[in-house]
Amino acid sequence: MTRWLRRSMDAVSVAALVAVLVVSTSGAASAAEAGAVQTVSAQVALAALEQALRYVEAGVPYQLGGKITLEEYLALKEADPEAAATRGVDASGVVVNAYRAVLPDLQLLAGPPEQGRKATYVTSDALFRYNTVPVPLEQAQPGDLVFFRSAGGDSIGGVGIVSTISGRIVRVVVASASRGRVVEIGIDTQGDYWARNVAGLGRLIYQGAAATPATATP
Amino acid sequence: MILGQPSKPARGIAALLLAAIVTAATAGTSAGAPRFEQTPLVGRVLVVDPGHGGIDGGCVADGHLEKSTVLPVAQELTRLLRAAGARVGLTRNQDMELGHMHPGPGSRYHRDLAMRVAVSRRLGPDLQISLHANASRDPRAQGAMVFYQPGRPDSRRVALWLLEALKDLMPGDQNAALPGDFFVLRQVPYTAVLVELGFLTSPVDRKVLVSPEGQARLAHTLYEALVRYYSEEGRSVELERHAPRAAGAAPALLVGPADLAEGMSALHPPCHEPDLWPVPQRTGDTGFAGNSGGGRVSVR
Repeated sequence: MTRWLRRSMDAVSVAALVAVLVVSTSGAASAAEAGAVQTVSAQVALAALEQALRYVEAGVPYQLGGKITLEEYLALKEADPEAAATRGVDASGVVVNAYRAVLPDLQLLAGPPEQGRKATYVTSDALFRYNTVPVPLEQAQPGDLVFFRSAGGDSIGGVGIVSTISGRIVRVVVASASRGRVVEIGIDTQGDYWARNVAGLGRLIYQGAAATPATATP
Repeated sequence: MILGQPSKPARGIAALLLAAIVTAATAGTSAGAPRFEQTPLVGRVLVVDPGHGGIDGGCVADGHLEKSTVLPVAQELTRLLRAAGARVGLTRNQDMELGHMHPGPGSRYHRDLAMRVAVSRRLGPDLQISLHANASRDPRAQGAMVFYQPGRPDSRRVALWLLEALKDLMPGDQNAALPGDFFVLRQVPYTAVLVELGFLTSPVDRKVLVSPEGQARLAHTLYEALVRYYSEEGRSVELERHAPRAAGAAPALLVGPADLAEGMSALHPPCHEPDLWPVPQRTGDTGFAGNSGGGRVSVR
């Protein structure tokens, strides 16, 4: 009895201690490390979404590893439609291009900040891990990013941009491998697909004049 | 579960509030375990920190994930340390990342590491030991490595002891104890090391890393090294005489900028970069491939 009680108390107090800790530290360590982490403003995110929707309108093809910009694609389509059909974007490509159209000096982290590896394009996984802050679904805004799990579920295999949130349906602009082009889809946030495939939402981190403090985000 | 064999209510509460964030508990007294008064670990507080987890698989090679390799080693090491009388906290005890438990700010990467540090600092251990597996583009790269905070002789000594033990089980050209500028090391004020148990990308290392027998041997090796470390520390021996020597010479064990550069580049270069790292499972950004699931996705 006493032994059971003691152990129960241990479990409770330990849990409570760490729960308090989570609240009280408020990320002091990471704040110091990350410096002034800023995310893109709602206006920037909206403008990036508008850019992404132009890829949908233009029917830009999906291409594994493709990074073609909309302007490049439209020019190529004009000059050589057959060649244009072979070029396209992948999931991270359209997201990065859409944001870079709004933020021309956008730089992204390809790995942990201490390694200092910046890149013009990074994978969906690197966007998820190093270049966004998490955003709960209830606080998501147009222009936020939606991350999809890889087949194995141990990394991120794709990313899209939130266009609208209407009730339980989130509409997302995404370069779809299965559809072969950039499309806008709706996903039921209470459905199986969302539960199994969506790893989370995020807001792009950006150091620059157009950014707003991350304190506005969760 | 972590707290020895707690009753169901205790288990339920702990799991509810905390999932796998675990903390110090006095050891169980399993049969055959050393008597507490005989081990130098009695009363020591240690934090064992298995890297990655959940959506963060860490390095991948031949279908094997870093996160799944280090967790069993950490769990067995924890069991052994507790049986020897140490109080041990595990930063995770299941396949999960910790970023979602930290309020931020910062990226998921930062939140995960910050949560590990927050848990560890709360316990204020004598030693924090983070466990990882390495990767290299060169499949010949092999061997355990141990990193410590630059300018911390205490951490360096532990690193040397661990490497000395590990290099028999995980020998290779990469065997070294090196200073490393890593978040989980520089954010704590106490002795801390980060162990790269071996290279998942090396067929030789991988055999040990992914097999239950190999994982148990790794845990035992680390445990025995810690017992020896704390025994010898108590006697204030000249540790440098016991410093490990790499095959032939000792340059890898000397502390200097060149070693640091080498160590940094050797650590986790390509874990999350499929475009730079063509492992079979991750040949590129797969885009959005799963959108054909009938009624699961509604397109409007």
